[in-house]
Amino acid sequence: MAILSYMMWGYYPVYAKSLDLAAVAAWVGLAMLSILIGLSNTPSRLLLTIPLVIFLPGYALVAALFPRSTLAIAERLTFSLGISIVLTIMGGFLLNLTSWGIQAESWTLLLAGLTLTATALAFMRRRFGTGTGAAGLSVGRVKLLMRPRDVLFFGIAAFVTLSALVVARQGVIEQDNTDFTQFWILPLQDNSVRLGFNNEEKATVTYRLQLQADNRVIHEWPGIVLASGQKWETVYDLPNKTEPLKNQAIVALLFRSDMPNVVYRRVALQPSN
Amino acid sequence: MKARNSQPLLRAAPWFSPHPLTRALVRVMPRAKSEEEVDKMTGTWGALPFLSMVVAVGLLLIAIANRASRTGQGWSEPLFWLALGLIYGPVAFRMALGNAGRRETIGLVGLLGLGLFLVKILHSPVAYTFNDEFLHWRTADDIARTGHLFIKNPLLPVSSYYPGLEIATNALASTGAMSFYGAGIVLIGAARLMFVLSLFLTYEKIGGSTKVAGIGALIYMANPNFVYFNADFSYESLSLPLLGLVIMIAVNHFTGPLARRRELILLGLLALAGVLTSHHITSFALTAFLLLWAAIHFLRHDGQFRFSPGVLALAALAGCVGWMLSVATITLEYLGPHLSAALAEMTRLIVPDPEPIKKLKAGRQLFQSTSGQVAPLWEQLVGMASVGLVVICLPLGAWIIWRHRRQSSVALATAFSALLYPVSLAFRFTSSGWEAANRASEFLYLGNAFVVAVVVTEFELPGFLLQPIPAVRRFLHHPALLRGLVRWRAPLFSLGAVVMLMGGIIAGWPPYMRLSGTYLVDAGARSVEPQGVGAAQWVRNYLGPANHVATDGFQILLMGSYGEQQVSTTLSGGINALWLLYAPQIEDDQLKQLKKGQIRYVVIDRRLKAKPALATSYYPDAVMEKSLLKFDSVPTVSRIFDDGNIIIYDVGVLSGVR
Repeated sequence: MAILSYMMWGYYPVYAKSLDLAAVAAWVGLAMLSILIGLSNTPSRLLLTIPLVIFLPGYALVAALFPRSTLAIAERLTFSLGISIVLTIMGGFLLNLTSWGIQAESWTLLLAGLTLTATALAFMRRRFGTGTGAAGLSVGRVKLLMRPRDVLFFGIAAFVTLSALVVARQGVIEQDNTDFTQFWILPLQDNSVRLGFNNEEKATVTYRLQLQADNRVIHEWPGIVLASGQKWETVYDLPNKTEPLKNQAIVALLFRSDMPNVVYRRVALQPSN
Repeated sequence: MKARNSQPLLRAAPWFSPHPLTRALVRVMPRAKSEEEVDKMTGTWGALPFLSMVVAVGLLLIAIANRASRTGQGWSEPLFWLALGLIYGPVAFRMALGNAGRRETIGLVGLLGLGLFLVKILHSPVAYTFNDEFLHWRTADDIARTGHLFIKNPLLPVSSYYPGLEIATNALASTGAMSFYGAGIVLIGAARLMFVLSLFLTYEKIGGSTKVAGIGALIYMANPNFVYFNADFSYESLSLPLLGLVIMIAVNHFTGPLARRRELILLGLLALAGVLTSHHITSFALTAFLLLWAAIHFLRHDGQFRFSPGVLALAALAGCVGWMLSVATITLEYLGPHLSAALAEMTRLIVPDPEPIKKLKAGRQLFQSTSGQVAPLWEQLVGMASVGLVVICLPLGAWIIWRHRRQSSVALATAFSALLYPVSLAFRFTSSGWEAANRASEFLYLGNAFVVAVVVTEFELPGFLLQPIPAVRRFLHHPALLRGLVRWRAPLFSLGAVVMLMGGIIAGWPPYMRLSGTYLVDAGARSVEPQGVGAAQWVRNYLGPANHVATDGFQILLMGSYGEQQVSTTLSGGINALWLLYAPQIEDDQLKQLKKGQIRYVVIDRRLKAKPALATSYYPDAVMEKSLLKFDSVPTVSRIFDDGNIIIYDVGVLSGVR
């Protein structure tokens, strides 16, 4: 279209020189959409929203401030990253003063608004600003000169780095941490107690739970089989004839079937009176 | 400003030499038939693609070392050091060759910066584990929960008033539906990339060459805190890159194609605001440097005031003081005790037994941890060599800068700030000052790196050493010596750089935290494991947030972050829970503490019995295990949670909190 325009009228239309700004605006639009429609935590949402916070606002502002300047890639990248982070921080202080507060929707509107405003300003300054100099894609004329061997090497580097991350994560998952069972008791208002335990023993375990009140066994749950990672909970109403909870000591003992005579875990509610 | 060659020792031997190793390296990358072709190719990516692979292999070895360390394999640590050398050494070698083009050098700087960042990520690849990370995670969590700033953080109250890191993290986490861990990695990674690039660009402006800039950035990355401390999720990890940005903007405004552009002032003030609201110490350091630079310029140029750094310096001073007095009033209360203790110990070392100073701790032994563990001999040698290399270069570099760059006030300011480094080393001999000296290194290295880079690229033996003594002159101009120096210059430099990196990590990071590993009692990142995390999460889910909790060890951080509890610390206006937890029994004093701290729950980690000295430092006769379980014998205290190691007691009846 730009070439056709040049051939027919002898000039490049302005929009061809501001393709980068168009890309910024489009990216912001897609990011806003993904956030406001509540797209779940997927790679696409991450890909769209991360630049909205750490790159696009700074890029747009730098483009607006230096519409005709051919900053080199390194300078432009540095400014874009740094100024984006700073604008985000300042934006947070601003949102803190509003009734909306700091949340996803207010961030979206703020960052998108800021970026689009700066983008529009950059476009106007390029379109109507004086002076010569390269505009459009602010990277200037850069030949990437990526040979096939370079692409191969970079690809291998990326693959090996990802492998390193996988190896490290696997190391965490497979680490032999202490096996344990969590056991708890909590008083409830209506003379009842909430009991529970959680199996983190990395194996299926059979438990026996014994409840005592003032040193007398008042209830037992034998043969509770829990797989690793499973939780068991119950609410037990103390019998009417017993004292109110606040006047008696309630003790719960947890045993394992492979150690039936050893108190594995112990919790207790002491009288509060 | 380019350096002048006055008495070149090696004029006949150019910096770039067709050494066989060089030729081999070149052959591995762009296929060059001649040196002219290499020169043409330096405008492209050069060795960057190949070295990316090398760095990636190094990272894979780091991951393997971490994984092996988790199973207690003894070879994990040698592998770790080897991998670190593989990441850093070849890049240093390539830069030392001096024939890398600008694009390649920038790429290498970014590659190394991110590569070393990933070393920390590979240590903790799924969740935060370092002490400071939990402190700031709590602030980020408070912001996410309430939607507002300045919520009191019981773990690190001052963090709430410098919320730059947490604000940006919140933006990423909420817009991207990410965890704080993921958002933190993205943010700190982006800031790290921005930082190393800004360092390169700043050194390039000041030093006048890509070579100086690349080597300067490389040397900076060898500072003790670059690999771990400044890569973790803490406020300095963001504020330091923003400091680099401010200085880069100021230097660009001062000189270069963007000089005097008003737009840069706006960007500079924005970046400055980011620093001032992100970290107190970084604000002070930046203000000090800008004032120094402005003062030097003012003095050396007959009172001429330049808009930058003058305006930025004044703005930094006003902003720093204004923020502290109006918002972050807690800063002085937080920093004061640390700084005064360090100064007092220094005074004691210099002036023995001064009257006003009493009850000071004894001086600190180098290479000895607080638990008494002494570093192995090789670590001590590498650590000392690392410091020695820098200290030797400092006067030489300062002399070169004075001779060839004294018209540049920013170069002089950088050199002067570097000369503070040896002064900071003295603080390492004090228990209270060690931390301050260690934390100062990432700031002082900004100057050190430039000075060392100048020495490496421009040092020449002065003529007066050569001329009068014919035998010396003949020796120093002997062809074999010249060939040897040229041949070994790059390898020696890269070896020295690797020693600096290793020595920095040895000096700045305790051995048990360099790699992930099996659980250790009260040992920072090594104390984070599923059982402790599970207990904290149980507290959050079953007891609700914001209960006043007394606990010790790493449980403080877990309960304050995962558990969202109001852990009682003196820093947050609560009690020192250790006087309560380590007491042999519950008596009147302990009851008063419970009531004063409004403590509802006490969390005991029985594994602390492995460190009895923790209790005896408070109660000399205490037996740790008995002290920890004393609540079992108190009739009105309920034991509501037991997982074998962690026990939670409800002490509401004793403290009167329901």
